[in-house]
Amino acid sequence: MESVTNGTSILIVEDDRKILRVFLTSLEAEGYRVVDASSGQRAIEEVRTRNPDIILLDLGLPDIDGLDLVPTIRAHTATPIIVVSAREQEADKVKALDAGANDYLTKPFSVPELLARIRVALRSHAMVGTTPRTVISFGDYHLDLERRRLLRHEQHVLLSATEFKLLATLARHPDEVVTTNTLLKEAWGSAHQGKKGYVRVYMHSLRRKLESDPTRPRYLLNEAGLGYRLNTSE
Amino acid sequence: MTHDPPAQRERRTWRSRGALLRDFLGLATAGVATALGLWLGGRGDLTNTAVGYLFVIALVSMRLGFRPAILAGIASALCFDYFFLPPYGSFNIDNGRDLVTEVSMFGVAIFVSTLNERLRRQARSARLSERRTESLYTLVRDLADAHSLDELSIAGLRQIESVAMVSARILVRNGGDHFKCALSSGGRVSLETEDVAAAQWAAQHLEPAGQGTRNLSTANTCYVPLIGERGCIGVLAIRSRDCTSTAVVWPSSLIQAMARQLAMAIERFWLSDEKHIAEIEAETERIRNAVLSSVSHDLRTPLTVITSASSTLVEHGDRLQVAARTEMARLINEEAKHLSELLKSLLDVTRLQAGKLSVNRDWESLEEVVASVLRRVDERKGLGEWRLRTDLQDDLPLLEIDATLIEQVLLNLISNALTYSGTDLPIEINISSHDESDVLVSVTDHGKGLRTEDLTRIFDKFYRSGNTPGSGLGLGLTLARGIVEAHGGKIWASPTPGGGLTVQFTLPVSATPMVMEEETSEGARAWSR
Repeated sequence: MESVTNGTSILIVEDDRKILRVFLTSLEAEGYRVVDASSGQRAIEEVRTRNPDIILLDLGLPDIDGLDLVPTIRAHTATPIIVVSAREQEADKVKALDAGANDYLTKPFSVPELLARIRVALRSHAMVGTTPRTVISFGDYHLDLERRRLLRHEQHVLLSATEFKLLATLARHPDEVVTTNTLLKEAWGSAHQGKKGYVRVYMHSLRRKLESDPTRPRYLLNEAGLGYRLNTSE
Repeated sequence: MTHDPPAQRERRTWRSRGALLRDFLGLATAGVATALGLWLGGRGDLTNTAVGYLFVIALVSMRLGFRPAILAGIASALCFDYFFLPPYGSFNIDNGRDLVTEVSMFGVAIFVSTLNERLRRQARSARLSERRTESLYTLVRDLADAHSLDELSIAGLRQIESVAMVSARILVRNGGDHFKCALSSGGRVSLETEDVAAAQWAAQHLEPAGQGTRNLSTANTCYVPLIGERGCIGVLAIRSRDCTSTAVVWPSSLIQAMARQLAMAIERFWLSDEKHIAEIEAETERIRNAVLSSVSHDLRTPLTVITSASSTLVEHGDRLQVAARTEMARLINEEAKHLSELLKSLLDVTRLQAGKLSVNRDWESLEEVVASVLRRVDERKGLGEWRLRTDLQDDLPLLEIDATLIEQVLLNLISNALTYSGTDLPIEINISSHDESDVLVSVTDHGKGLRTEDLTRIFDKFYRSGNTPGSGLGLGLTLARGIVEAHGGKIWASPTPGGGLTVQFTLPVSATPMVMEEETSEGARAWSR
């Protein structure tokens, strides 16, 4: 573990000193280098000067709305952003994800949860720039993006075009939450904005084909009010 | 009423024309009586002729009124003298006996007419006051039946319009000197057509103003102030129904009496409104107190554990065994999670109570909601899969719901079921299309169940059945009911056959189902070939 995290720098944008202390202690214990910023303005400076490997962004900041910060940072760098929000900001989470954030955490959360999200975000970011993976595996399945097919134990699984597009969109961001809006745009184009029901119908048929128990899915996990996550860790 | 409005004058000219006709009729009757007397009795039968004249005069006084009767009396006396008393054909009277007959006949005529006139006046005023009483009674009854301020105003206006044959409006004062809106018997209308200056004059001086009054009488409308206990609450505007007619309205005493009733009714309504608000505030206060006492008790328990365990670690951490340190840390972690859940449910219920729980509806699949709930329960409680059994109808329709909120409902129901049933009994979640318009969700446990009288009370705030093993706030089901009802569904609890509790709720299927376009033709072919 030490070798993986050693030298990886994390920027924590958080204005509460106590929460910051806990994060600092636990993340430094894991071997991360931690930089902190207590305001949006400081955060922008730190992103420019230090170029962190990952950003943990609290949406409730004293000076700038954290939501506005996401596109500002995105304009500057592709560094993964994990958004941290209080429960009252449910709607903001979706907006942050649509604006380019990679993942979210809702307060209060545990440190193991935080570490898991950081690892996923770093892993998928590490793949950016390298040749994108063309085969993504989860459980017994192998999804071949290039040859456009899904195999299970070397057997073809018959998917419709839309089902395939949805699965491929999820597979390009394995273990990260993909918002329903993004799925809609990828599979149907931007003309169908707002028709979330489309995604529900096709995810239903995908689950019928992929999951042994659709009410306890192992791979196609949904996040209420947000979107879906393809679980590849099982 | 000291006014002498033009309308009254006009009516008088009308009356005089009718009176002339009646006077003429009175005179003509005397003529007819004379002719009859001459033809039937002749000049000798004085007694019968005199009685005949008296009879005719009494008849005229009854049918035609006082003045025609007096005229008929005079005419009869003159005719009697001229035709029947010697010397005939002259107004002279020869002897004293005839003079007495003549004078007494005239006296009796006047006496009978006066009596009759008095009777008629009494009858007319009785009729008038009866009509007035009846209109006022109808008004009061209509006002009492009204359920809202608008309804009340409209009922009052209708009654005034039908009684006084005018078009009426109410201009409502905004508390200050201005008017905030106008109401007609058909509902809200614009203030623009009103002569606001005259209306304000009436409101400030508490006296009628405008047409038909002595104040600002050039206005085309008559304004009667609506005076309640606390001063002028508005102004009643009346105008002639037909805009083109020259008829003029004026504030008759009946209209003023009705305005008083209306003002009192409106004021009563305001008072009861204020009372209602005060009652709600008292109830809110009561709930706030209940929350405070319940919260302070339920939150203190986990806080005590956290404080003591963490202080042990801070003060004596180095002297503790590793296992003991871990145990302390685990306790802190558990109680903090518990505290977080309590706070969350408290916040949700507070928001629900304040009407601030926003429902973000979208097309959602219940299957996904259940999947998400099961994952959260499994993560939190580490249950074996057999504990939670699901049975979902395969072709459930998509519903327009707030997935986050419905997830919360299911989570609360499942948490309850887990708390109240033993550790080795399964919990069943069933979802099926109840009928065409509803989907039915049931969460069934096989625990001890509840007494019948508790089945409805469990949805009350802070209600916890007597044998509660856990330490919740008793808000989970309250929140569930609030959310389900906000979605237009119903929630209820019933005993599980064979023991336990089943909580069921319905969610309405949207009247307009989601329409899906077909997949694009390029996509119709499967990709895997």
